[in-house]
Amino acid sequence: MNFCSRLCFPAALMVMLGLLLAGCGGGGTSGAPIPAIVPVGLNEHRVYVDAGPAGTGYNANRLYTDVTICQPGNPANCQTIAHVLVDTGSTGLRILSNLLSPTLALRTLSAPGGQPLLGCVQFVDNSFAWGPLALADVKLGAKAANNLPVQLIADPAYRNLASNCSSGTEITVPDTLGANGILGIGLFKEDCGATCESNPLNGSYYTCTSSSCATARGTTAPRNQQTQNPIPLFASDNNGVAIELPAVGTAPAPGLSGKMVFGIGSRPNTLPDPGRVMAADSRGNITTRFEGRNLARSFIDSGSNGLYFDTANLPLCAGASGFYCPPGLTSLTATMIGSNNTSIAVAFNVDHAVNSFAGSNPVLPNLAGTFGTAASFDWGLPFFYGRKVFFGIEGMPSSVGTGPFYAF
Amino acid sequence: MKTMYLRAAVAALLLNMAASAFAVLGGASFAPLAVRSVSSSSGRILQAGRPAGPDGTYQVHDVQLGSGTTIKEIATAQGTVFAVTWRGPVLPDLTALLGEYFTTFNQAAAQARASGARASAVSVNKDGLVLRSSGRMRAFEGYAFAPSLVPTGVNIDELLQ
Repeated sequence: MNFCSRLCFPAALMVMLGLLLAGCGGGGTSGAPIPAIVPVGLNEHRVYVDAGPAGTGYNANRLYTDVTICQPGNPANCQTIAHVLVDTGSTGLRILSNLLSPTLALRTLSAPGGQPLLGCVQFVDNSFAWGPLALADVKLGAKAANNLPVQLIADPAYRNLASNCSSGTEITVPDTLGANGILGIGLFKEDCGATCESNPLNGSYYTCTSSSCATARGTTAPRNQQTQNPIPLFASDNNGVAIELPAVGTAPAPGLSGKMVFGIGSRPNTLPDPGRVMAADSRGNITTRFEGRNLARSFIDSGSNGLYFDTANLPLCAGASGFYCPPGLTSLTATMIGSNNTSIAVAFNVDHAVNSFAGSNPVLPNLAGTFGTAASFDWGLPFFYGRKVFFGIEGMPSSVGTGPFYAF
Repeated sequence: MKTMYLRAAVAALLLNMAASAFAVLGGASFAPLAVRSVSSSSGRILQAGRPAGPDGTYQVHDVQLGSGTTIKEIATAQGTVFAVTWRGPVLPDLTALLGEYFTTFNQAAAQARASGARASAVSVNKDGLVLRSSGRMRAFEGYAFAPSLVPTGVNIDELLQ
């Protein structure tokens, strides 16, 4: 997600074009239920695509999971939050604070100056999430990341926002996010990394200038206090994750169930094909060769709800929504190329986005749109359908190499 | 120490740039951003392969913000910024970058959210503004330009790449 890059919701288009579609039967009818992939191992945890949190409108191609949050050191004081977005395009756990029980009594972290450490995370539409960092023991199935720094989005105790991060719309409720929180489990360990350890103008971390917290200023933040990927904090199976989703076919569907598998090379269910490991650069990018051009800033992102790339060969939908609307199902191919020169050809389909939206199905396997800058191919959630996609975390060794890498 | 050095550098550049065009989109006043460094170029051919206007009338300023995000401001010879691009780990303050055009962008983003597009890439083409914002955490990128201000003969699509 742009960070959670691109979460696109077509409700208005549906309304606008619903009449047009009513007479032509377009709109994607659902086929038979998709067989679930059920988590069984100790290192597996359920993920799902469905209609999303109640009252948040139409959520398309959004992958969710349930996250259990406990008071540090107190496994009897926990709360499970459903519909947390699984986002390999960002890093760290962020939960809307008003969903958390006060009895969890999570302790806020302090910045180097001694005042509370505050985070600001931005999205490409200039919306943003602001809130303090607090420690929690976080469980994903049987796996635990203890004392994990978590961002509490829109905590009412910290309402004085930094102006240079807050010119857009603030995320304060599930409806703004289409989820109850975001679980960023991509290629990186922290959301910011080394830059935020030394540069107080990093734009991601802030602190209060006084105990009243009336104003905020930028601050450095040690890596171990930044919002971070919980997986490296696991006691084992901690060097990466795979997301395994069932095959969908070409028709929209009402939902699906799959799993996250933790660790790479540590168990029989964590073994990628060594010949299909694509090393990523320090920003998580690989190259995608598409229509004769090399798109050097390409990435795989479960938080993107479609495939996003630029082409003159697919017509855009009416209304400048940024989605493609070819007259029918269109089959294309591209080649992913890692910085280790491993290349993998990928076939994918693009269908008329407005017709796809018309059935209000959460699973849209053929949704695609423009990226907007001609050097990127964003392989969003449709790419994951029918695949087991591995993410090797930066600096973490495994049987198939040291991250960051993608494999499938 | 770093901060002091940077402030000094910016002050020097501001003096040198009094007659040039480091500015918000559509304007010619200094954009109030936390600037780390500025390098300017102007003249007929700014960068190899980049098209100039028929009489060589545009200037490019590359700006690096304190956050590490880089901004490119492209202005007419008279100093009016007609295009901006950004790329980096966090978004720049778009109110400072877009100036009077921010309202148009903000309304378009709000409209997209109201119709269900949450935290998603934004495309705008209305009220004299063309804008695209995309990317993800640690890697934002985008551009904005005012078509009516683009000098004749400038290929804006090539300029923005």
